Amino acid sequence: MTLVFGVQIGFVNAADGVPEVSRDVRAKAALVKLKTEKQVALLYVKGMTCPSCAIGIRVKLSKLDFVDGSRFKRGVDMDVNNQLLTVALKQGVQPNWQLIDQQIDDAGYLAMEWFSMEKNGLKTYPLLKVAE
Amino acid sequence: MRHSIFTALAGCFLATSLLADEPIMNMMPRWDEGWGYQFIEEYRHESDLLLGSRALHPGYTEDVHLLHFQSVYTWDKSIRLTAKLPYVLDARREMPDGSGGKRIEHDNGIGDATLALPLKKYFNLDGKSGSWTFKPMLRVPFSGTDDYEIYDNEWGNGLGLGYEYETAKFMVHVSTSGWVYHGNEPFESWSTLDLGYNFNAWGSNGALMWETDFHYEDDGSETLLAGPALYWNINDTAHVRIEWKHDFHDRQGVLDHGNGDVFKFSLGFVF
Repeated sequence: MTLVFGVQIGFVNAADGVPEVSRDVRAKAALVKLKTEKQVALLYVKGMTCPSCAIGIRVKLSKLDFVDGSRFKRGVDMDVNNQLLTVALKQGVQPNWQLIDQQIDDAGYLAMEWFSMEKNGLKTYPLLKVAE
Repeated sequence: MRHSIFTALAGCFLATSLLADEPIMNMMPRWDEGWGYQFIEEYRHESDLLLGSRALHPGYTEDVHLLHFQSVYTWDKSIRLTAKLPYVLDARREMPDGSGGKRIEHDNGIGDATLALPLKKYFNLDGKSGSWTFKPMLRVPFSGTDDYEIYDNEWGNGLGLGYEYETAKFMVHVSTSGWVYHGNEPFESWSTLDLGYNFNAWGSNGALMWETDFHYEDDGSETLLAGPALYWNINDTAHVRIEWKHDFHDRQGVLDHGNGDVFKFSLGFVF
């Protein structure tokens, strides 16, 4: 019996090459998002490039009690070009970053940092997992 | 006598309709405790009866109409369980009757089930996400006895390997699998290269792909088929896919139908 397992294509590789967008471009997109959307949590989710693969992020986050499911698509908007995730929050509620981080991890992705609009402009905060 | 030789040869070595793709559309569910199911309606038309690359009986056709039911459960994001069960709605083929004429044969009913345990290693990079897959598989015989059988009705063990990645604009999927059967069926393998362009429209997303498959059997059979596919995310829960593949190269190690086209319509639901 001849054991033939067909082709193994060699031109694809998993190296962390040139990013899809630069950090500056992502920051500009985040700034626009925070100016136009109120009461949201905004995150950079590394690898969130395929909306269908990332449906799990929506499935997981929409179950959290502080997420406002009436906004966006079940409370979650995915910008796959910039890998930015916007989570709609209920009025007067603060996001639980640890919980968000865990749910994104369960969905198969890596939450890197979250953005905040402050007096002196856009600030980024690393998530716990990144800081470890 | 001639009649029975033809029947035995063709009956023993039918090319099975093995699907290398996994539910749901290969992509989902990627999340813990996700599950889904998918229906695939498949129609295949083969134009000639081949022996080697030669059309021994040109114009002797085979038409196969199948309905596949597939399900998936993602226990942990790196461990999936999948089950596939095909149903032959109708299969009809033309065979030589041994006296210069045609004999029509039919098959219908349940096919052989495939159970798989895809083990995934995901990677998330800046602007790119993907996975490596190692997939042990088991074929469970369920098909019955008709004039002829689309499925082999044999136990089998398979192993699949895969690699895929997506950027916001493009996707690449490469996989290969091998099957060893417990009875008379020869070893066979399927290899796949899918290239796709991702797009967003009407508040959702889709992908336009070009897919190429190579099927090899240890009896000398080999088929290279390729064609376009369109995937569309209807509402995150429902997903649809249409594909067409044409046999660009077909060689049958034993008497079998070839030179055909395959059409598939898939509807999947994921939760």
